[in-house]
Amino acid sequence: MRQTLVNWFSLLFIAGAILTAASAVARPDISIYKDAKGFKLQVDGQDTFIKGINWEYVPKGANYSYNLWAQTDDYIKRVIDYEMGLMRDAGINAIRIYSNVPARWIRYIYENFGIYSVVNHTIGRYGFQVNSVWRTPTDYGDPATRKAILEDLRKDIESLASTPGILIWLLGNENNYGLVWDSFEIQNLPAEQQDKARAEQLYEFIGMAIDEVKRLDQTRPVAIANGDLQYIDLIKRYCKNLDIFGSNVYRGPDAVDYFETVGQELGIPTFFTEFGADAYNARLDREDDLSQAEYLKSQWRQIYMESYAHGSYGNSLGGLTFMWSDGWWKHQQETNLDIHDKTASWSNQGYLYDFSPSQNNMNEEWFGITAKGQQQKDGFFELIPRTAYYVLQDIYQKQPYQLESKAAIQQHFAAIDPKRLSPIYGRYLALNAQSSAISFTSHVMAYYESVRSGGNSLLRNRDGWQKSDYSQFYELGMDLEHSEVQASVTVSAVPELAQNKLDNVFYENRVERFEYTDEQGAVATRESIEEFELKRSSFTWNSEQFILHGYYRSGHGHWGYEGDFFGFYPESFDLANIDRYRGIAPVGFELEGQKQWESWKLAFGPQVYWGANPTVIAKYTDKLGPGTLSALIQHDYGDNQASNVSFVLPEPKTNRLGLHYGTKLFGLDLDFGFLHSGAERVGETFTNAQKSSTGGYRGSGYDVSDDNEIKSIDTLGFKVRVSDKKASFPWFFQTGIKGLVADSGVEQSITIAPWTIREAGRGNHYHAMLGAAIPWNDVQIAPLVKYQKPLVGPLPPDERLQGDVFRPDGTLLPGVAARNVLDDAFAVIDNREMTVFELLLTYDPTPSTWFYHWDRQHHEDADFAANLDLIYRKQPTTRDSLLGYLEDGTSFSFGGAPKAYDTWDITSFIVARAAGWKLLSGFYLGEGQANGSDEAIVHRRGFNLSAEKSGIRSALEIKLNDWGPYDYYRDFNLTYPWQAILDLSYTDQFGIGIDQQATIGLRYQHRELNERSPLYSIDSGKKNHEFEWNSYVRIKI
Amino acid sequence: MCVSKFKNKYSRCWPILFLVAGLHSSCYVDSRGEDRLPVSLSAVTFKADVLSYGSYPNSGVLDVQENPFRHWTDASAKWNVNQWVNEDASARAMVGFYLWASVLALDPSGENQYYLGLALEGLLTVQNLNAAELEVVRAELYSAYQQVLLQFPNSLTYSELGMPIHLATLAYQKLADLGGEIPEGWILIETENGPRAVESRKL
Repeated sequence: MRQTLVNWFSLLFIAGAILTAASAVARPDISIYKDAKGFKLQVDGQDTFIKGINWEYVPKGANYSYNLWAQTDDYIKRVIDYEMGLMRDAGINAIRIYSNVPARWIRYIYENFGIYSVVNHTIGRYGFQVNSVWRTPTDYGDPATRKAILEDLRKDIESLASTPGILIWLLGNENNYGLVWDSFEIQNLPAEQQDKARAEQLYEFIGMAIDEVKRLDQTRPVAIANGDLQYIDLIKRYCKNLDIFGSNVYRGPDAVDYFETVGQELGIPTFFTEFGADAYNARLDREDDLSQAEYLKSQWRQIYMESYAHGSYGNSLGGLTFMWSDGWWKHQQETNLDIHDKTASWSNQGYLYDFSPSQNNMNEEWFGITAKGQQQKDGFFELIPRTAYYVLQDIYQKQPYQLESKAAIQQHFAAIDPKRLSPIYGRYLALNAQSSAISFTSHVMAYYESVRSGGNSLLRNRDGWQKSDYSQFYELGMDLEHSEVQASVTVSAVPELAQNKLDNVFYENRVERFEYTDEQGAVATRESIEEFELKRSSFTWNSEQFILHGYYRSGHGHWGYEGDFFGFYPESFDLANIDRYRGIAPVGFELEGQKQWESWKLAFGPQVYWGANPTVIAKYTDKLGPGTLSALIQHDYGDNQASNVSFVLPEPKTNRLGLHYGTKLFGLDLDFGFLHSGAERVGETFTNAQKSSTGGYRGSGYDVSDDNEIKSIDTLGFKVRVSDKKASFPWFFQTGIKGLVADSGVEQSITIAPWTIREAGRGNHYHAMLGAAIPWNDVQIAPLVKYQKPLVGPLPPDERLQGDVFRPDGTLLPGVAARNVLDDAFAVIDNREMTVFELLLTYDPTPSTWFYHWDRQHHEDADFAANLDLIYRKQPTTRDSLLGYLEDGTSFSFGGAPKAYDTWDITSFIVARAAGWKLLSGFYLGEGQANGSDEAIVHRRGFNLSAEKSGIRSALEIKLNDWGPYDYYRDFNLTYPWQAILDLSYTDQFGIGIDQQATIGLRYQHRELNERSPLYSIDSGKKNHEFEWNSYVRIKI
Repeated sequence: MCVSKFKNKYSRCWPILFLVAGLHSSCYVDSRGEDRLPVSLSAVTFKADVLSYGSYPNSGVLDVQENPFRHWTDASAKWNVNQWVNEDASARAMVGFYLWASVLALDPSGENQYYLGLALEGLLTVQNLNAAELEVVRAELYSAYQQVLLQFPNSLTYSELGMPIHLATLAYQKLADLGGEIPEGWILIETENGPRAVESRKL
């Protein structure tokens, strides 16, 4: 037996050695050849001229945060096969790609298409996560930052070094254009010396990064991507081991003295890491693919002319054209991502075909040598090669080393005529212009389900219940695209609806039952269903002066990072709940000023977020002294009648003013806020109760006072925050006070870490918060403590004050009921007295894909990432009353609240990948109180897990002793001993180019009931249970 | 070393924090209203100009300072108070008005609207009202019963035996007996269960 094991391990070792050797053989040897005629890049001894391109894959509607590598393998392969196939046909032999690319895809691209990768680590160009906190701009003088970047660089190089297909390690991306960080050392210098000092720090660090790469891999050259020739003296001084000088060069058709300067100053080979021209003529305001092609031809001719044996220094190794396809996200980067923006954002005199001294001419979103065409729902888009693509295809027919002289190069290029090649793309443009000055696309979703439910609860008594039933829903969507206007409409149709589902509050359940008393005094019921309904719509109109965005039940973002310090305009993306409860929100318009109006923003409409009153909000932001001042004014012009769920409390009609001033002082971020809100409530009265030194009212121990008046001071609020985001342990401290009726929203921005605990938006409280983020390897440990206390506390839930007492002698002693937001000037709800401790632990080894991104289940690319959130709330007093809603939508006050009680919660979410499966999991446990007045504490816990691979998805969810799925369960403290859902489905796609997807699935739901559950049958004589079998088909076309 | 560096770096922030803390402690002045005391209903007197605040949908009676029920929470004692009012209907009729007007404002229903009518009817028996005051009472009384027909046409109350009683029919009959105007379109018909007020357009 022992011998067998030895033999087996020996075989394993030999096999491993062979595989390792084979792998080593497959890895090409890359070197730089140098002689008196200049420099050549050689792969396995073969001259290789870099005919490269800057490649990124970002679908329309996405931005820099989109991560192709987080998609399924099938999808990635489909993208690569399509795009690399087109590149290979053009003769492109290298792509510039960021270093988060998995090794297997570099290998796949190389082995299947012969295209090399220039792997680029930006070394913190756009910020970097240091000690678990994202810092931007990157401070290259900071030792902790340097250490973190070098560590990350080391990890990337080590993971990729053995991969065949990598041509060059490329560091940075014009980092010299980001010399804006502040530090004590920098601030101490005279202003004119500060940039130079920052540059010294930057290039000293780049030199360290180059050395680190050389230490880890001696088989490939190292290059940097500088911004033109700026600071070439510092590069010479600090980057002594640099192999290739790379540079982003936008000098127009001719780089002038570029090659000569590099030759003289550095004496090493060079290549353009970015260069090119945009395909939009800002002067003529139309697409101009021919000028782009002419410019690229001219630029490549110079690259050829300066190559080995041709140029004065023979130092040109080739170039990476910027870029492969248009980046629809480039302008503004966060908004209008599905619009091909024609805004020229900077000026460059080198591009004479559309240069004008009075306006910008560089259109960031039009640099592609291919245009983005039709896009499918999953983000896969077709490409339409522009004239430049065909020009490059002709240029790449020959390497410069095949051309014996400069004259031969001239001849080669002279034979290439962009005008001759332009009709190919021109035909596409002409067709496009004819057929789609306005283009429409449509999509249909059909859903069919068969439902069988039962059990021994009172479910069977529910109106309309039958053992088996079925549904069919449809959604028809239409998208309109025009150069300036995009619009989208979705209509829902429900011809058939199953009446026997366990959870029967969902968007398609539009059956409403009305009870009425007939003329004979009998109670009767009638039903009504909205078969067709406008579900969602939105439009965006881009003009030169403004962008107008209209939305009807479509989400929108907040202004939290633009000076909205008091949450006047919160984001509205909870569309799942809005659909479920059929909220008519958000509905409104957002107007964003452009050019001379860019300081202004306006939002208005009948319900701009769920629960909002009809309102107008105006915001003005401008520089003031060393900081930025924002002013927001809100005017409610009506009352909201639409709220119908308990977690969306109606707000009193109001006018508000919010001011925010943000600045920096000694490296600290300072934020000051002033609030004026609720002035129309001045003069209203409220009831109060305070501990009595005598027996108190009705012997309760409380003195109860009436006719307390709201005064002007109660409308004011102040808030101040100090934060140090650059410290080794980033921290913040915040404190504020809000008068009794100085209500606002909850501030939307994230400070330091995405804690669950936020400042209460409601007035009538003061608070202080202290939080920090402590790094520990790839874990961020973020503790937070918050204390808040209402200025006027809740009315006490003392039994001696409950109910109205009338004595036979004619004396009346009215009771004292909890306040509520409908009937009282203010109420104590989320602003109740509490001390909260939160500890948020996050393990995320790939910080570039932020773990807390809203779309993290698709976005997170780590093999394992997880968080654990622990919250303890010490609540020494109770609160006032919340509102509940009856089935017919009418609201009521619960009239009381559960007693003071300390609660705790633990939640966790996990994203993992293993053997091709994407796993999402989570668990929670904790104690909770009802929204209503029921006293019972719910000790709840639950777990969920879903696994996806190649269209197969299985999901399991288990909840123990928890509330049911809707708001009224928590309102009335209705729980189930346990609830479980198991869902198995398979999704398949049909065809390429036509977006079709079908899902078939089977779902089983089961729950047990007890006396705290709705529809519990006391007569069943045993444990109650309910179940539902659901088989479904969903087709998307 | 570290501590002194920290002190130097952040020492200028402390004045700001103290300023905010000072605001916390100074800008709210507590205890502004009057302590609540037991209310003697015997002291309630007639007041003509508040009668119009009674009928649904007007809930202004809850803002009337003289209304002893304006701080009611759940109106659970309403029947006890009603019984006390009825013991000396003429002297306590105004209490009856405040009672049912407040109950109606807190809990709008046909039954409470009808009882408001009865309470206003009780005010007709108050001894020392002048003609003008009686005119106001009568007008609000008619309005109260009319609102039963217009706002709560299907409302029911129940007899002690649990039999449903159609309140609009009772209100119709009250208006007819007291000489009030019957709202347009309402008629009284005979059914198997006796007379019933209905809207003629629904027949």
